[in-house]
Amino acid sequence: MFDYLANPTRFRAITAVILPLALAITVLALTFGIYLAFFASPPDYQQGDSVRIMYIHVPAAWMAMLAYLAMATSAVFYLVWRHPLADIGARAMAVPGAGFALITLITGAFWGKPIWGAWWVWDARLTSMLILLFLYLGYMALADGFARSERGSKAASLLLLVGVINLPIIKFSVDWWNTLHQGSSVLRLDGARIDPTMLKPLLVMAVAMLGWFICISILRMHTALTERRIHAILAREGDEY
Amino acid sequence: MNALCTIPLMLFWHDVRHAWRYPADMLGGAVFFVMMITLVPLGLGGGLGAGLGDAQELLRLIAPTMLWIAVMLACLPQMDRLFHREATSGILEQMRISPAPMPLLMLAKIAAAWVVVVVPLVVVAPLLGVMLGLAVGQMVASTGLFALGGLGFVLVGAMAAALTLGAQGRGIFNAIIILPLAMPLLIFGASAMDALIAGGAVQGHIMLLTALVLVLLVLAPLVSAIAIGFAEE
Repeated sequence: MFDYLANPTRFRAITAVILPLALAITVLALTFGIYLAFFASPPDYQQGDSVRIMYIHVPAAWMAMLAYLAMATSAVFYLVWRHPLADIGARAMAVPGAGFALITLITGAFWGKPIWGAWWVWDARLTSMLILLFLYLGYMALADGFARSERGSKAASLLLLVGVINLPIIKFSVDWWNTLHQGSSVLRLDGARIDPTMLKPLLVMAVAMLGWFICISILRMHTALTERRIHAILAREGDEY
Repeated sequence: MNALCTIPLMLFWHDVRHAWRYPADMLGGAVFFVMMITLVPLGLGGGLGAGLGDAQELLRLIAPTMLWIAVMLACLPQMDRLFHREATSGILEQMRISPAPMPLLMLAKIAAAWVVVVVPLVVVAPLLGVMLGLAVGQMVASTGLFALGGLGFVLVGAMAAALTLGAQGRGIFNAIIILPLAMPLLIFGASAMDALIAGGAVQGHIMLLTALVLVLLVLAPLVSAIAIGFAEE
Protein backbone atom coordinates (compact mmCIF):
# COMPACT_ATOMS: atom_id res chain seq x y z
CA MET A 1 0.00 0.00 0.00
CA PHE A 2 2.81 2.38 0.83
CA ASP A 3 4.58 1.54 -2.40
CA TYR A 4 1.34 2.42 -4.14
CA LEU A 5 1.15 5.79 -2.37
CA ALA A 6 4.85 6.52 -2.72
CA ASN A 7 4.50 7.35 -6.40
CA PRO A 8 4.57 11.19 -6.50
CA THR A 9 2.06 11.49 -9.35
CA ARG A 10 -0.40 9.19 -7.64
CA PHE A 11 0.22 11.01 -4.36
CA ARG A 12 -0.66 14.30 -6.04
CA ALA A 13 -3.84 12.83 -7.50
CA ILE A 14 -5.03 11.39 -4.20
CA THR A 15 -4.15 14.43 -2.11
CA ALA A 16 -5.82 16.68 -4.66
CA VAL A 17 -9.06 15.06 -3.43
CA ILE A 18 -8.10 15.03 0.26
CA LEU A 19 -6.92 18.64 0.36
CA PRO A 20 -10.26 20.43 -0.34
CA LEU A 21 -12.01 17.95 1.95
CA ALA A 22 -9.59 18.65 4.80
CA LEU A 23 -9.85 22.37 4.13
CA ALA A 24 -13.65 22.25 4.34
CA ILE A 25 -13.51 20.29 7.62
CA THR A 26 -10.98 22.79 9.00
CA VAL A 27 -13.08 25.83 8.15
CA LEU A 28 -16.30 24.28 9.51
CA ALA A 29 -14.71 22.92 12.70
CA LEU A 30 -12.79 26.13 13.34
CA THR A 31 -15.90 28.33 12.96
CA PHE A 32 -18.02 26.02 15.11
CA GLY A 33 -15.19 25.47 17.61
CA ILE A 34 -14.50 29.17 18.09
CA TYR A 35 -18.23 29.81 18.56
CA LEU A 36 -18.42 27.03 21.16
CA ALA A 37 -15.20 28.06 22.88
CA PHE A 38 -15.92 31.77 23.17
CA PHE A 39 -19.72 31.98 23.40
CA ALA A 40 -21.43 28.67 24.07
CA SER A 41 -19.24 27.29 26.86
CA PRO A 42 -19.36 28.37 30.50
CA PRO A 43 -16.53 30.22 32.25
CA ASP A 44 -14.65 28.16 34.83
CA TYR A 45 -15.85 28.62 38.42
CA GLN A 46 -12.30 29.35 39.58
CA GLN A 47 -10.47 30.59 36.50
CA GLY A 48 -13.27 32.65 34.95
CA ASP A 49 -13.01 33.46 31.26
CA SER A 50 -9.27 32.77 31.10
CA VAL A 51 -10.14 29.07 30.91
CA ARG A 52 -11.05 29.71 27.25
CA ILE A 53 -7.32 29.77 26.45
CA MET A 54 -7.49 26.03 27.01
CA TYR A 55 -9.40 25.52 23.74
CA ILE A 56 -6.35 26.65 21.81
CA HIS A 57 -3.64 25.62 24.26
CA VAL A 58 -4.58 21.96 24.77
CA PRO A 59 -5.32 20.95 21.13
CA ALA A 60 -2.09 22.69 20.06
CA ALA A 61 -0.16 20.64 22.63
CA TRP A 62 -1.77 17.43 21.34
CA MET A 63 -0.90 18.38 17.78
CA ALA A 64 2.71 19.21 18.67
CA MET A 65 3.16 15.69 20.04
CA LEU A 66 1.15 14.02 17.28
CA ALA A 67 3.15 15.80 14.57
CA TYR A 68 6.42 14.60 16.10
CA LEU A 69 5.18 11.01 16.19
CA ALA A 70 3.97 11.31 12.58
CA MET A 71 7.40 12.62 11.56
CA ALA A 72 9.12 9.74 13.36
CA THR A 73 6.85 7.25 11.55
CA SER A 74 7.79 8.89 8.26
CA ALA A 75 11.44 8.63 9.25
CA VAL A 76 11.08 4.86 9.68
CA PHE A 77 9.56 4.56 6.19
CA TYR A 78 12.34 6.72 4.79
CA LEU A 79 15.22 4.89 6.47
CA VAL A 80 13.91 1.34 5.94
CA TRP A 81 12.20 1.51 2.53
CA ARG A 82 13.99 4.60 1.16
CA HIS A 83 10.82 6.31 -0.03
CA PRO A 84 11.80 9.93 -0.83
CA LEU A 85 8.17 10.94 -0.31
CA ALA A 86 8.40 9.91 3.37
CA ASP A 87 11.29 12.32 3.81
CA ILE A 88 9.39 15.09 2.04
CA GLY A 89 6.50 14.37 4.39
CA ALA A 90 8.63 14.57 7.54
CA ARG A 91 10.20 17.84 6.39
CA ALA A 92 6.76 19.23 5.53
CA MET A 93 5.36 18.39 8.97
CA ALA A 94 8.30 19.85 10.91
CA VAL A 95 7.38 23.51 10.46
CA PRO A 96 3.68 23.27 11.47
CA GLY A 97 4.70 20.89 14.30
CA ALA A 98 7.20 23.39 15.66
CA GLY A 99 4.52 26.07 15.22
CA PHE A 100 2.11 24.09 17.39
CA ALA A 101 4.77 23.71 20.09
CA LEU A 102 5.37 27.46 19.97
CA ILE A 103 1.61 28.21 20.13
CA THR A 104 1.35 25.89 23.15
CA LEU A 105 4.16 27.73 24.92
CA ILE A 106 2.84 31.21 24.11
CA THR A 107 -0.80 30.49 25.03
CA GLY A 108 0.52 28.69 28.11
CA ALA A 109 2.33 31.87 29.12
CA PHE A 110 -0.85 33.94 28.66
CA TRP A 111 -2.77 31.39 30.70
CA GLY A 112 -0.12 31.07 33.38
CA LYS A 113 0.07 34.80 34.06
CA PRO A 114 -3.48 35.18 35.55
CA ILE A 115 -3.67 31.68 37.09
CA TRP A 116 -0.18 31.05 38.48
CA GLY A 117 0.90 34.71 38.58
CA ALA A 118 3.91 34.21 36.31
CA TRP A 119 4.55 34.14 32.56
CA TRP A 120 6.80 31.17 32.88
CA VAL A 121 7.34 28.62 35.63
CA TRP A 122 9.88 25.80 35.48
CA ASP A 123 7.23 23.16 35.60
CA ALA A 124 7.56 19.66 34.16
CA ARG A 125 5.05 19.96 31.32
CA LEU A 126 6.18 23.43 30.26
CA THR A 127 9.78 22.33 30.23
CA SER A 128 9.12 19.17 28.24
CA MET A 129 7.18 21.20 25.66
CA LEU A 130 10.17 23.55 25.42
CA ILE A 131 12.45 20.55 24.94
CA LEU A 132 10.07 19.27 22.23
CA LEU A 133 10.45 22.62 20.47
CA PHE A 134 14.24 22.18 20.68
CA LEU A 135 13.88 18.70 19.16
CA TYR A 136 11.94 20.22 16.25
CA LEU A 137 14.56 22.96 15.79
CA GLY A 138 17.37 20.38 15.92
CA TYR A 139 15.63 18.30 13.26
CA MET A 140 15.12 21.29 10.95
CA ALA A 141 18.67 22.55 11.42
CA LEU A 142 20.14 19.12 10.72
CA ALA A 143 17.90 18.40 7.72
CA ASP A 144 18.98 21.64 6.02
CA GLY A 145 22.55 21.63 7.32
CA PHE A 146 24.28 19.74 4.53
CA ALA A 147 25.35 20.64 1.03
CA ARG A 148 23.81 17.34 -0.17
CA SER A 149 20.20 17.35 0.96
CA GLU A 150 19.99 13.53 0.98
CA ARG A 151 22.68 13.38 3.67
CA GLY A 152 20.67 15.85 5.75
CA SER A 153 17.50 13.80 5.27
CA LYS A 154 19.14 10.62 6.53
CA ALA A 155 20.87 12.18 9.52
CA ALA A 156 17.74 14.10 10.50
CA SER A 157 15.55 10.98 10.18
CA LEU A 158 17.93 9.11 12.46
CA LEU A 159 17.78 12.00 14.92
CA LEU A 160 13.97 11.76 14.90
CA LEU A 161 14.15 8.11 15.92
CA VAL A 162 16.65 8.84 18.69
CA GLY A 163 14.31 11.63 19.79
CA VAL A 164 11.36 9.25 20.02
CA ILE A 165 13.35 6.85 22.20
CA ASN A 166 14.36 9.81 24.33
CA LEU A 167 10.93 11.41 24.65
CA PRO A 168 9.70 9.07 27.44
CA ILE A 169 13.03 9.49 29.24
CA ILE A 170 12.79 13.27 28.98
CA LYS A 171 9.16 13.15 30.10
CA PHE A 172 9.97 10.93 33.06
CA SER A 173 13.03 12.86 34.15
CA VAL A 174 11.21 16.17 33.98
CA ASP A 175 8.11 14.83 35.79
CA TRP A 176 10.35 13.47 38.46
CA TRP A 177 12.13 16.80 38.65
CA ASN A 178 9.18 19.10 39.20
CA THR A 179 5.42 19.26 38.70
CA LEU A 180 3.10 22.21 39.18
CA HIS A 181 0.97 21.84 36.06
CA GLN A 182 -2.37 20.09 36.54
CA GLY A 183 -2.51 16.46 35.56
CA SER A 184 -4.12 15.13 32.42
CA SER A 185 -7.91 15.46 32.60
CA VAL A 186 -9.03 14.18 29.19
CA LEU A 187 -6.88 11.18 28.28
CA ARG A 188 -7.37 9.05 31.38
CA LEU A 189 -8.04 5.36 31.86
CA ASP A 190 -11.11 6.05 34.02
CA GLY A 191 -12.72 8.35 31.44
CA ALA A 192 -12.47 12.08 30.89
CA ARG A 193 -12.64 14.19 34.06
CA ILE A 194 -13.83 17.34 32.37
CA ASP A 195 -17.35 18.68 32.00
CA PRO A 196 -19.04 17.83 28.65
CA THR A 197 -19.77 21.53 28.00
CA MET A 198 -16.01 22.10 27.98
CA LEU A 199 -15.00 18.80 26.39
CA LYS A 200 -17.09 19.41 23.26
CA PRO A 201 -15.43 22.67 22.14
CA LEU A 202 -12.07 21.16 23.04
CA LEU A 203 -12.59 18.20 20.72
CA VAL A 204 -14.04 20.35 17.92
CA MET A 205 -10.99 22.62 18.12
CA ALA A 206 -8.74 19.55 18.05
CA VAL A 207 -10.45 18.41 14.82
CA ALA A 208 -9.97 21.90 13.35
CA MET A 209 -6.27 21.92 14.19
CA LEU A 210 -5.77 18.41 12.85
CA GLY A 211 -7.49 19.42 9.60
CA TRP A 212 -5.34 22.53 9.34
CA PHE A 213 -2.22 20.49 9.99
CA ILE A 214 -3.15 18.03 7.23
CA CYS A 215 -3.83 20.90 4.78
CA ILE A 216 -0.53 22.65 5.49
CA SER A 217 1.45 19.42 5.36
CA ILE A 218 -0.03 18.39 2.00
CA LEU A 219 0.50 21.87 0.56
CA ARG A 220 4.10 21.89 1.76
CA MET A 221 4.64 18.44 0.25
CA HIS A 222 3.23 19.60 -3.10
CA THR A 223 5.55 22.59 -3.02
CA ALA A 224 8.55 20.38 -2.24
CA LEU A 225 7.64 17.98 -5.07
CA THR A 226 7.30 20.86 -7.54
CA GLU A 227 10.64 22.25 -6.37
CA ARG A 228 12.31 18.90 -6.99
CA ARG A 229 10.82 18.70 -10.46
CA ILE A 230 12.06 22.17 -11.31
CA HIS A 231 15.55 21.17 -10.15
CA ALA A 232 15.37 17.99 -12.22
CA ILE A 233 14.26 19.90 -15.34
CA LEU A 234 16.95 22.53 -14.89
CA ALA A 235 19.60 19.82 -14.42
CA ARG A 236 18.46 18.08 -17.60
CA GLU A 237 18.54 21.32 -19.62
CA GLY A 238 21.97 22.07 -18.21
CA ASP A 239 23.18 18.79 -19.68
CA GLU A 240 21.89 19.61 -23.13
CA TYR A 241 23.60 22.96 -23.48
CA MET B 1 38.13 -13.30 16.21
CA ASN B 2 41.48 -11.86 17.10
CA ALA B 3 40.92 -8.85 14.87
CA LEU B 4 37.62 -8.21 16.63
CA CYS B 5 39.48 -7.45 19.85
CA THR B 6 42.75 -6.01 18.64
CA ILE B 7 41.45 -3.43 16.17
CA PRO B 8 39.14 -1.62 18.65
CA LEU B 9 41.90 -1.80 21.28
CA MET B 10 44.40 -0.32 18.82
CA LEU B 11 41.97 2.44 17.92
CA PHE B 12 41.40 3.19 21.61
CA TRP B 13 45.13 3.22 22.31
CA HIS B 14 45.82 5.39 19.27
CA ASP B 15 43.30 8.02 20.38
CA VAL B 16 44.58 8.12 23.95
CA ARG B 17 48.20 8.35 22.79
CA HIS B 18 47.32 11.10 20.32
CA ALA B 19 45.69 13.12 23.08
CA TRP B 20 48.74 12.55 25.29
CA ARG B 21 51.13 13.80 22.61
CA TYR B 22 49.01 16.82 21.71
CA PRO B 23 47.59 17.72 25.12
CA ALA B 24 46.18 21.11 24.12
CA ASP B 25 42.65 19.73 23.59
CA MET B 26 42.66 17.69 26.76
CA LEU B 27 43.95 20.55 28.91
CA GLY B 28 41.70 22.99 27.09
CA GLY B 29 38.61 21.23 28.41
CA ALA B 30 39.92 21.23 31.99
CA VAL B 31 40.91 24.90 31.77
CA PHE B 32 37.48 25.78 30.39
CA PHE B 33 35.92 23.90 33.31
CA VAL B 34 38.05 25.79 35.86
CA MET B 35 37.30 29.13 34.18
CA MET B 36 33.56 28.56 34.22
CA ILE B 37 33.51 27.64 37.91
CA THR B 38 35.78 30.58 38.77
CA LEU B 39 33.39 32.98 37.07
CA VAL B 40 30.38 31.91 39.15
CA PRO B 41 31.47 33.43 42.49
CA LEU B 42 32.70 36.52 40.65
CA GLY B 43 29.35 36.83 38.91
CA LEU B 44 27.47 36.44 42.17
CA GLY B 45 29.08 39.69 43.28
CA GLY B 46 29.47 41.28 46.71
CA GLY B 47 29.54 39.56 50.05
CA LEU B 48 31.64 36.59 49.00
CA GLY B 49 34.95 38.42 49.34
CA ALA B 50 34.01 39.54 52.82
CA GLY B 51 33.03 35.96 53.64
CA LEU B 52 29.44 36.88 54.46
CA GLY B 53 27.32 33.90 55.42
CA ASP B 54 24.41 34.32 52.99
CA ALA B 55 26.52 34.54 49.85
CA GLN B 56 28.65 31.56 50.92
CA GLU B 57 25.50 29.57 51.57
CA LEU B 58 24.03 30.48 48.18
CA LEU B 59 27.23 29.39 46.46
CA ARG B 60 27.23 26.11 48.32
CA LEU B 61 23.60 25.49 47.35
CA ILE B 62 24.13 25.97 43.62
CA ALA B 63 27.54 24.25 43.60
CA PRO B 64 26.29 20.80 42.40
CA THR B 65 24.28 22.36 39.57
CA MET B 66 27.15 24.59 38.50
CA LEU B 67 29.61 21.69 38.54
CA TRP B 68 27.32 19.50 36.42
CA ILE B 69 26.59 22.22 33.89
CA ALA B 70 30.28 23.06 33.69
CA VAL B 71 31.21 19.39 33.13
CA MET B 72 28.59 19.15 30.38
CA LEU B 73 29.70 22.34 28.63
CA ALA B 74 33.39 21.44 28.94
CA CYS B 75 32.68 18.12 27.19
CA LEU B 76 30.75 19.64 24.28
CA PRO B 77 33.42 21.47 22.25
CA GLN B 78 35.77 18.49 22.43
CA MET B 79 33.12 15.96 21.40
CA ASP B 80 32.34 18.20 18.46
CA ARG B 81 35.66 17.22 16.86
CA LEU B 82 35.44 13.50 17.64
CA PHE B 83 35.45 12.26 14.05
CA HIS B 84 37.02 15.27 12.40
CA ARG B 85 40.56 13.86 12.13
CA GLU B 86 39.23 10.49 10.91
CA ALA B 87 37.13 12.11 8.21
CA THR B 88 39.92 14.30 6.84
CA SER B 89 42.78 11.78 6.97
CA GLY B 90 41.12 8.69 5.52
CA ILE B 91 41.04 6.77 8.81
CA LEU B 92 37.26 6.51 8.40
CA GLU B 93 37.69 4.46 5.20
CA GLN B 94 40.12 2.20 6.99
CA MET B 95 37.59 1.74 9.78
CA ARG B 96 34.94 0.87 7.22
CA ILE B 97 36.97 -1.83 5.48
CA SER B 98 38.35 -3.28 8.71
CA PRO B 99 36.95 -6.67 9.80
CA ALA B 100 35.76 -5.25 13.13
CA PRO B 101 32.11 -4.08 13.11
CA MET B 102 31.59 -0.33 13.09
CA PRO B 103 29.59 -0.13 16.37
CA LEU B 104 32.52 -1.79 18.18
CA LEU B 105 34.92 0.75 16.71
CA MET B 106 32.56 3.52 17.79
CA LEU B 107 32.59 2.09 21.30
CA ALA B 108 36.40 2.19 21.23
CA LYS B 109 36.33 5.85 20.14
CA ILE B 110 33.81 6.63 22.89
CA ALA B 111 35.90 4.86 25.53
CA ALA B 112 38.96 6.81 24.42
CA ALA B 113 36.98 10.05 24.48
CA TRP B 114 35.91 9.25 28.03
CA VAL B 115 39.55 8.86 29.10
CA VAL B 116 40.66 11.97 27.25
CA VAL B 117 37.73 14.31 27.90
CA VAL B 118 36.05 13.21 31.13
CA VAL B 119 38.90 11.94 33.30
CA PRO B 120 40.70 15.32 33.48
CA LEU B 121 37.42 16.97 34.51
CA VAL B 122 36.79 14.30 37.14
CA VAL B 123 40.26 14.91 38.55
CA VAL B 124 39.77 18.68 38.76
CA ALA B 125 36.13 18.58 40.00
CA PRO B 126 36.81 17.79 43.71
CA LEU B 127 39.18 20.74 43.96
CA LEU B 128 36.60 23.10 42.47
CA GLY B 129 33.83 21.65 44.63
CA VAL B 130 35.85 22.36 47.76
CA MET B 131 36.45 25.90 46.53
CA LEU B 132 32.66 26.31 46.20
CA GLY B 133 32.25 25.35 49.84
CA LEU B 134 31.49 21.62 49.70
CA ALA B 135 33.14 19.18 52.10
CA VAL B 136 36.17 17.22 50.90
CA GLY B 137 34.55 13.87 51.67
CA GLN B 138 31.42 14.75 49.70
CA MET B 139 33.44 15.80 46.67
CA VAL B 140 35.56 12.65 46.71
CA ALA B 141 32.38 10.59 46.93
CA SER B 142 30.80 12.40 43.97
CA THR B 143 33.82 11.73 41.73
CA GLY B 144 32.15 8.48 40.72
CA LEU B 145 28.98 10.36 39.80
CA PHE B 146 30.92 12.69 37.52
CA ALA B 147 32.70 9.75 35.91
CA LEU B 148 29.35 8.04 35.25
CA GLY B 149 27.50 11.17 34.08
CA GLY B 150 30.54 12.15 31.99
CA LEU B 151 30.27 8.81 30.19
CA GLY B 152 26.67 9.70 29.39
CA PHE B 153 27.68 13.11 28.01
CA VAL B 154 30.39 11.49 25.87
CA LEU B 155 27.87 8.95 24.51
CA VAL B 156 25.38 11.69 23.59
CA GLY B 157 28.20 13.81 22.16
CA ALA B 158 29.41 10.94 19.98
CA MET B 159 25.93 10.51 18.49
CA ALA B 160 25.69 14.22 17.75
CA ALA B 161 29.20 14.34 16.29
CA ALA B 162 28.44 11.42 13.96
CA LEU B 163 25.11 12.90 12.86
CA THR B 164 26.58 16.31 12.11
CA LEU B 165 29.79 15.10 10.47
CA GLY B 166 30.34 17.21 7.35
CA ALA B 167 27.54 19.68 8.11
CA GLN B 168 27.98 23.41 7.69
CA GLY B 169 28.28 25.18 11.05
CA ARG B 170 28.51 22.03 13.16
CA GLY B 171 28.98 23.79 16.49
CA ILE B 172 25.49 25.26 16.68
CA PHE B 173 23.85 22.00 15.57
CA ASN B 174 25.76 20.00 18.10
CA ALA B 175 24.54 22.23 20.91
CA ILE B 176 20.90 22.10 19.80
CA ILE B 177 21.01 18.33 19.25
CA ILE B 178 22.88 17.52 22.46
CA LEU B 179 20.80 19.67 24.81
CA PRO B 180 17.52 17.64 24.75
CA LEU B 181 19.43 14.35 24.91
CA ALA B 182 21.80 15.39 27.70
CA MET B 183 19.18 17.09 29.86
CA PRO B 184 18.00 13.92 31.71
CA LEU B 185 21.63 13.16 32.62
CA LEU B 186 21.97 16.63 34.09
CA ILE B 187 18.75 16.24 36.10
CA PHE B 188 19.61 12.84 37.55
CA GLY B 189 23.29 13.66 38.09
CA ALA B 190 22.74 16.95 39.85
CA SER B 191 19.94 15.57 42.04
CA ALA B 192 22.09 12.56 42.98
CA MET B 193 24.79 14.96 44.10
CA ASP B 194 22.25 17.08 45.98
CA ALA B 195 21.08 13.97 47.82
CA LEU B 196 24.68 13.03 48.57
CA ILE B 197 25.39 16.44 50.06
CA ALA B 198 22.13 16.55 52.01
CA GLY B 199 22.94 13.12 53.40
CA GLY B 200 19.74 11.59 51.97
CA ALA B 201 19.23 8.27 50.18
CA VAL B 202 21.55 8.34 47.16
CA GLN B 203 21.04 4.82 45.91
CA GLY B 204 17.86 5.49 43.90
CA HIS B 205 19.40 8.48 42.11
CA ILE B 206 22.54 6.53 41.25
CA MET B 207 20.47 3.63 39.91
CA LEU B 208 18.45 5.97 37.66
CA LEU B 209 21.62 7.64 36.38
CA THR B 210 23.21 4.24 35.74
CA ALA B 211 20.10 2.98 33.93
CA LEU B 212 20.15 6.02 31.67
CA VAL B 213 23.86 5.62 30.89
CA LEU B 214 23.30 1.92 30.12
CA VAL B 215 20.51 2.77 27.65
CA LEU B 216 22.82 5.27 25.98
CA LEU B 217 25.64 2.73 25.99
CA VAL B 218 23.52 0.45 23.81
CA LEU B 219 22.06 3.20 21.66
CA ALA B 220 25.02 5.50 21.00
CA PRO B 221 27.50 3.11 19.29
CA LEU B 222 24.74 1.81 16.98
CA VAL B 223 23.39 5.25 16.07
CA SER B 224 26.90 6.66 15.60
CA ALA B 225 27.88 3.76 13.34
CA ILE B 226 24.76 4.21 11.17
CA ALA B 227 25.24 7.98 11.00
CA ILE B 228 28.90 7.60 10.04
CA GLY B 229 27.72 5.31 7.26
CA PHE B 230 25.47 8.07 5.92
CA ALA B 231 28.38 10.52 5.95
CA GLU B 232 30.47 8.37 3.63
CA GLU B 233 27.86 7.35 1.06
